[in-house]
Amino acid sequence: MLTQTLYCPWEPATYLFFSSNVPPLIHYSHFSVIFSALVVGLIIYFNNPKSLLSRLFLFFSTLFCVWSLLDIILWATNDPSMVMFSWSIQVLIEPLTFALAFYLFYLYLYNKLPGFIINLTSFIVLLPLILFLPTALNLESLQLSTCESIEGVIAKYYSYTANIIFILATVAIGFIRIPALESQDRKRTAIIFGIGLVTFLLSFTSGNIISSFTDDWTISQYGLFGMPVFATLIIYSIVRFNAFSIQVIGAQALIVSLWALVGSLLFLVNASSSRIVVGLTLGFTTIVGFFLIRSIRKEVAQRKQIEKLAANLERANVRLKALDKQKSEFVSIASHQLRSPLTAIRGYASLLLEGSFGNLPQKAKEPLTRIDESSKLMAFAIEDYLNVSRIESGNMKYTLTDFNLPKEVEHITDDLRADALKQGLVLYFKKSLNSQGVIHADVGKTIQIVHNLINNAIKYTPKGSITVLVRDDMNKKKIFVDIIDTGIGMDTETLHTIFQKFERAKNANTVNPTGTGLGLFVADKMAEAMGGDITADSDGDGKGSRFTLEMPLAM
Amino acid sequence: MKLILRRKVVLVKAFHMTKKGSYILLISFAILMLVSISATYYKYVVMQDFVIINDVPEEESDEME
Repeated sequence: MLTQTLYCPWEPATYLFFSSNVPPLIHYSHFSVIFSALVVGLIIYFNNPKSLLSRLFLFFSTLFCVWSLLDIILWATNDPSMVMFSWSIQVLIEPLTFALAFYLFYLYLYNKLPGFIINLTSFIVLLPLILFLPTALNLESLQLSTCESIEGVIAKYYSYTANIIFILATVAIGFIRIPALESQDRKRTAIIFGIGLVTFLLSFTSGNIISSFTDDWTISQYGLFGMPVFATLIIYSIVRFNAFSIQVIGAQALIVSLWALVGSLLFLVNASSSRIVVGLTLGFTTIVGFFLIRSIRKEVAQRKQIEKLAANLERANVRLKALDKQKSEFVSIASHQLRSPLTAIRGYASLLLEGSFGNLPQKAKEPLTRIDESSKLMAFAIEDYLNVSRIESGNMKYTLTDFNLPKEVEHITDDLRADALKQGLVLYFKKSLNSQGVIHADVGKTIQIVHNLINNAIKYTPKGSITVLVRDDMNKKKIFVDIIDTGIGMDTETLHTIFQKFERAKNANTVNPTGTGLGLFVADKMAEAMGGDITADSDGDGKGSRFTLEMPLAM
Repeated sequence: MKLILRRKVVLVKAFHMTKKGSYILLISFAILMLVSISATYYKYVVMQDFVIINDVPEEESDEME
């Protein structure tokens, strides 16, 4: 029983970590590695707090920090009981850190924790350290002059053996698992992670082993520098292989550095009032930093979601384009297949009506006329489908030449006048030109457009007149063909959709039930392809329409 | 056939045992560690039950009553 309390021959430690016995490099070596371990541990944890790997990593970093803090206490304190207790705990924590490193690497490589056999083996390896912790087998005694414990078998031999066992196990799973990993990026990060981890473990344990056998504990601090190496490799793999979001890492590193900077002031300022101010600043920085990191994380998560959606959209778009192309090809093939027999039907119906196969009874002529007219309508519809197919697949060919548009329009009007008269309509042709009216376009396509527009006007005008007006504007260098009718007209809604595929005026079916809704679409696309445009205008239902073809003049 | 079935039953049981076994090991380990750390604290800090090799010359040692 001690009647006197003995102390080591220096003054008691201030704030546990500071005394004259601590060599100058100890604080630097220990606090810098504690800082780097905590930064990496916290960054990885806050990037994914729910992940077991993140939590295990933080636990591993924290355990290493506890070991390092205990080490500074051992250097600073002059209290033998504190030395004996801290030293014992260190002997236990050290192999535990190595075991955690092994578990961490196992979880990283296999995405699961080891099974029962490995757990049992780890338990058996660590058990003697726990059982003999408070015994002389761990620490025999304390030397007062140096304030160092005399290590027993457990601390001097067994704990290092346990360390080496876990290092070998870590290396072994690396060699077994890494070659089997499928992704190249994952393989690379696993190699970097493994090298960093083993470097840290080897330097940590070798520093301690050398110190233990030489009784020079200043050597052990150099072993701690394996941690910054490990931390650097982890950060490198994060940034290089985008394991986590770089923006988040940047913000986190900034905030943590700020904390460290403000925190370090606590040790530098002496006045208690200054410490309160610094403490409050640290608290404020912590709160602000927390919210800042949270908002950045949220933003990054949203950006990732948008990127994912954009990628999906792009894929869908490509797929849609492919499907649309297939559809156009199908329509084209089907239309061609339909056109050939239809030509035969029309030809033979025409020959029969003309009496090429002898005179037909009057009763047979009427159905034959219907066959001829229906097949004609069908041929127009097929031609429209083929045109749509050609436009959409980009296969529509245009042969551009200079020609006189007013002349062509006049011819078309003359041709269609008979049809208009059949319906009791008057078809006028007017022109108001300051130029020759020559345009550079495909003659056939332009005729088709004008024919289509006038033909539409005839179809959708039950009574009244149709005026075809050709005019030009020398300032705009354009020529216009207006087709003005007194027909069924259109409401504003129809005006917006009339040039779209399969769109027809609401009241169109009452006048012309055979339309496909493709004529204006085809005409508009053709005019656009030749540098022109078609516009539609109407005062409303029943108030007539005005369609205008606009083409650039050839100068 | 019976032998195969028996083997299957043993394997299934062993599978359940491994999951439970790992938890039991972890809990046992945590309890043992806490007990051991408490015992160490009690022995060294509270009872101060350890051998001190006093190799400090009398005038240098800092003694307290």
